[in-house]
Amino acid sequence: MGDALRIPEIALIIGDHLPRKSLLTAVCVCRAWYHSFQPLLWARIVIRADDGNLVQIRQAFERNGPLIRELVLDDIHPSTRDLTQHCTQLSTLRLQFSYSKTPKDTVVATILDLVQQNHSTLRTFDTKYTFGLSQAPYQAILQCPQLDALGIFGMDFTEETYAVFWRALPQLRRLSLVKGEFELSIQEETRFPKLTHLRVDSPFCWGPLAATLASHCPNLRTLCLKAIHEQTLPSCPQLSTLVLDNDWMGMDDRVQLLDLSPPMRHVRLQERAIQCMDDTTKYFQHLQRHYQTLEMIDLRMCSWAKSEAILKILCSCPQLQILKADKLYGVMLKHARPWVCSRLKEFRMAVVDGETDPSENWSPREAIFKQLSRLTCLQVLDVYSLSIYEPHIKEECLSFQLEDKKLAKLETLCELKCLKVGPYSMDLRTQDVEWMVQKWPSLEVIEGELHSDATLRVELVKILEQHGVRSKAIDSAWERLEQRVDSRLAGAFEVI
Amino acid sequence: MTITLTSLDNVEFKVDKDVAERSILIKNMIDDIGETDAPIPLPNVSSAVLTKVIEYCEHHRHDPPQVQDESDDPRKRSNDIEEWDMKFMQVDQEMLFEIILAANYLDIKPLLDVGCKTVANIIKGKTPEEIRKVFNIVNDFTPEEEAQIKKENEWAEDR
Repeated sequence: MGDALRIPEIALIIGDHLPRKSLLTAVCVCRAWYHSFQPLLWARIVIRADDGNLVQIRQAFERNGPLIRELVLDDIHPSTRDLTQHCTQLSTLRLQFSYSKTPKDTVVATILDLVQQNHSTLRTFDTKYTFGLSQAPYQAILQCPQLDALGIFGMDFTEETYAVFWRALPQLRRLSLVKGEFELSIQEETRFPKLTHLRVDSPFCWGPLAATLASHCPNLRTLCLKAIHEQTLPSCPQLSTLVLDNDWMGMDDRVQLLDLSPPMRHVRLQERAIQCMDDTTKYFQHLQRHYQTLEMIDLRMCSWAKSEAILKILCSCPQLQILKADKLYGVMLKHARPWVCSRLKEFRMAVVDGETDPSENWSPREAIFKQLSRLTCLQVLDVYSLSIYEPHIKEECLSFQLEDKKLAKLETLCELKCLKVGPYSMDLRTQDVEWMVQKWPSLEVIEGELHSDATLRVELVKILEQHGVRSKAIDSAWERLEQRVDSRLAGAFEVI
Repeated sequence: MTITLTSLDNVEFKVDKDVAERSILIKNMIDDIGETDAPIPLPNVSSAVLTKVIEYCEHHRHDPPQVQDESDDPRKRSNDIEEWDMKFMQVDQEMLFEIILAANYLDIKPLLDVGCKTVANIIKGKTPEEIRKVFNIVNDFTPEEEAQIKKENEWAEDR
């Protein structure tokens, strides 16, 4: 049997299906397994800001540094260099910090070393730390022959600085420009002939930046854009994925973008600050032409997006994977058609189901659970809401107890990883939790208050832990902050 | 049209073309040499294993060709093995690894995947000693080496 594991592709596939914890055990089995799985364990390594005493792990790096393919640095300490000097086969280097207590000279020197010693293998460089273009790291990065993905933070782009990059890196396939100031003019000359993925996030720029940049990239396929003034979209023949984060954009521009955009294969939208009724109505009218290809929409900050609009999306967007909104009222489901978004992975919004009218043979709660049970790909069911404060309203919110027989409908959700409920207490009982761990084999975490009674809570946590499921309290202040600053487009921005 | 396959121990198998072509290796061979009555030799696969592989290909003959979905999570989950495949994989370990090797050689990706998932599921949640027992592996580490490996990987656990 050792034969099979000695073939790297086979070990790799087996390892792909193993959680880290199991990889850790597998390397201890025998020499052959060590050689097969140790590279997987060290393929991607994060050195965290709070890793503290780096001296302790020096020896581990001495032996395993050359196995690391992707290195992520949350910070750089003066002693980081002792470890990173052993990383000589990196294909990806990511700097996730934008501020460091360590003097800039040390940071620059450490990065420069890393880039230089991985000169021939480095393919991706991504930074949130700002260097000047004339500073050493960039000079070294621009010379890496394999580099095809680059992320830059806070650099001011004039025609001149921009030219430095495209002259040095005509092979670039992915480019991400975050923050920074842009002063570019449209010139038809092709600058990045191979570029397929472009992300431009929050630039200071008062012109149509996307059109300008994209006209430099004839082969663009994916465009992620968070900008202020965009009235036109680039006419790239191959553009098939459009990700828009419309934060500060005016409604007219927003609508015009939706109208002008050619048919896309994938559309992801983060909509914020649509703050009045008229605007919201108008917005949804124009959004309609993208329903067939809409994959993600985030409407949490659009308090006027009413249940009708949300339901329309659920009933009309077959490709939808992520839907975030504020609130959905169950009573509106009375005449709703079946939800067609059977690929939905993330459902995030408060659901207010309301009382059953005894004179009618119809219950909103039952209708909601029935619709939810169709979403068999669902991984995240998050009905936590920031806009529900009053404890009494709990009565009207979705409950996850078996008692009323509704929870049982959700046994179709066998991909579910995360259930998040609040701010009210779920008041689950032992049998509810046992049902969940049994019916939802993929479950990893339940977020929210399991029970208002502390003693019962401990018992429920114990059951969850026995099945390897975490429970997590929700900090509403943090939640609020995160929603506001959350500029990540749920994976869509992972351009490089 | 039927294709003849010859196993390592010289047993001939007659299978429909669409079944044989679940193997990319065989498909490419047929594409290269054109349709022929001559048997295709598979010198790496025994008749016992080939019987199993053909059983798999026959069951999955109408599956759509696999497409690479970029948006999918690269860390696929292990527990999503179809019921039929799960039963199919209930074989002794030697056979399990033989099937994996054959799937790799014949280039039948879904079978390779299902085989590897099955192995991963066996490994999951076990201690090194339990794994050695299940797979009949001799521990060839010295105690010092084993301690060293544990120590150097301890830090890497929650990366």
